[in-house]
Amino acid sequence: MTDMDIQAGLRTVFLEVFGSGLPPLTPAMCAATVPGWDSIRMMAIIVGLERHFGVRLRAREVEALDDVGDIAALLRRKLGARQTAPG
Amino acid sequence: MTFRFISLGGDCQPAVQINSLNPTRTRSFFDVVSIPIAQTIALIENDFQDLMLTENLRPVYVEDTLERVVDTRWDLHFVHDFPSLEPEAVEAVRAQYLVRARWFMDLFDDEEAPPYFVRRWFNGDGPEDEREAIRLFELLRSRRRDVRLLYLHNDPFRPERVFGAYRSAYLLPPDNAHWVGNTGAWRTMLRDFALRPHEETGFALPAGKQRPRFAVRSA
Repeated sequence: MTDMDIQAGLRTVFLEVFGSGLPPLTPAMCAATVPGWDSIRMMAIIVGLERHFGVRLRAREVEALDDVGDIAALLRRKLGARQTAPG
Repeated sequence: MTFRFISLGGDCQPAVQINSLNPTRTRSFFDVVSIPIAQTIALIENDFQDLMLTENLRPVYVEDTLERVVDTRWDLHFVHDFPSLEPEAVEAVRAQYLVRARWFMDLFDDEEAPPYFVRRWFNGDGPEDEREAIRLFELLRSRRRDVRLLYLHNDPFRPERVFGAYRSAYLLPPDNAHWVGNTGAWRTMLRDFALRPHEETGFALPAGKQRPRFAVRSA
């Protein structure tokens, strides 16, 4: 799975959780900047990520996540994704 | 230093107080459910098997409003989670609770930081609540040796108990009877639970109404 696959999967999961009004994902997006991103939505994100990517996330891994960039990095580690240069 | 407090119910109050002291990004299994202590023990003993099976979920309505959903297998009351009983909503809540159940079991993994479990009295626990709390502690201890349990009861005449990693004490109620409880007492108790050496083993207490010493110590 490439980094672009991870980005696309993240977008899919976040749209499922937050709806179509969600702006484009950026690495810096976090609970403080996305309205409604509370602990309940976080659990929905985790369920979506586990289903979409076929991974299992531990609570301590999730607690260490600060933003979307951290989520992508965690998935990259879990999936052993190779970096794909943009363009 | 941040301690890993984990609510064991019996309702939302422990999680609300824990989260105000140590905010977290996720939710633990017992954070926003209500469950008697005997059923808490049974659920953990059975590794959360048969959780939220459709045939066991019973809605409770107040007039026309869905007030809660009860898993009748475990007497587990979901008072905040279900927006409706539409199949998609039920599946979404179930999926989240299966993750929470898995995370709860992960706490017994030695790779995880030692959990400081906290249980508050629950209306349905009955007069044997302390005996059940000790049984709960023994169950948790059988899964992992370095767990600790703080049990907060509502009996002002029962002495504080400190037996190694098990503690119990009277939880001072708030002046205004607000459902989040006495925040000052909670904070002092949680800090004391984390910081007082847990090898300390009891002391003589005067007869009569008790005030746990850590509940009246200034924060």
